[in-house]
Amino acid sequence: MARKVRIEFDPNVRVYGNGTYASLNAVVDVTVHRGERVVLFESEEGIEVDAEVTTIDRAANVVYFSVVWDSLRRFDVQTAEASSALVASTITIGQNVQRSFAPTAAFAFGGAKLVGVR
Amino acid sequence: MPSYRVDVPPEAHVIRFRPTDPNAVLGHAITAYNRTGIPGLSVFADIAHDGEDQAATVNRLVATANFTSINARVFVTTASAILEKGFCFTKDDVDDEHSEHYSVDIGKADLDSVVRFLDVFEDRRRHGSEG
Repeated sequence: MARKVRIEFDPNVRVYGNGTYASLNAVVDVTVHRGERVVLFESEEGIEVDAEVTTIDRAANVVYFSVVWDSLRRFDVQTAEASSALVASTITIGQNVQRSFAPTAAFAFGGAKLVGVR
Repeated sequence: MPSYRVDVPPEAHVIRFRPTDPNAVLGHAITAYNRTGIPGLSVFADIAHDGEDQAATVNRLVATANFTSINARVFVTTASAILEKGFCFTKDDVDDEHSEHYSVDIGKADLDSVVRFLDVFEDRRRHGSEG
């Protein structure tokens, strides 16, 4: 089963009820799309929660999510690292091209940042 | 996404969760600025209901934030402390924002403003929790 993309967010933020959003500023490589299920995380507290991409607003440079708050949990650093390694090892570049590379320091703790949309 | 300034009673209790790292928080303020034109940082706030002490209000706000399933660190202050720093409370111009959820307009999306914002909060573990 494919690992979910992990995206850092501010767990204080709420929009449209229990939704939230994150920045697209760091978008480079990994792709997400509307309807995709992802894991949002906050590395300082060490928490994560399941979410689904609802809207990608390029004008505002943000991506919106519906959040399954009942799934809020502590994340296991080893699991997060393994997930990040998988995400980092097979990343879609553009539409069809894939390349592999070793996880960088950014992936080493807390998982990958959101680095792409489609 | 437009937002508008709102009045919050000075005695209202205000909470937020991590991150507390100023650079991380600054990043979120910049994201908010890109979205609304205001460098807003999210908080949960409300006045005490009848019979509530501060801890009970804080715990209610924690529940509103859906954070009851974990023992997260909670950072607490009052609306008056935020207002005294020259910040103001705003809400999104949509009907379905939680009534207890606000964004604090910190004026500028810079590190100094973020630090002044973070300085008003006290680290408070959840009431009745051993941590």
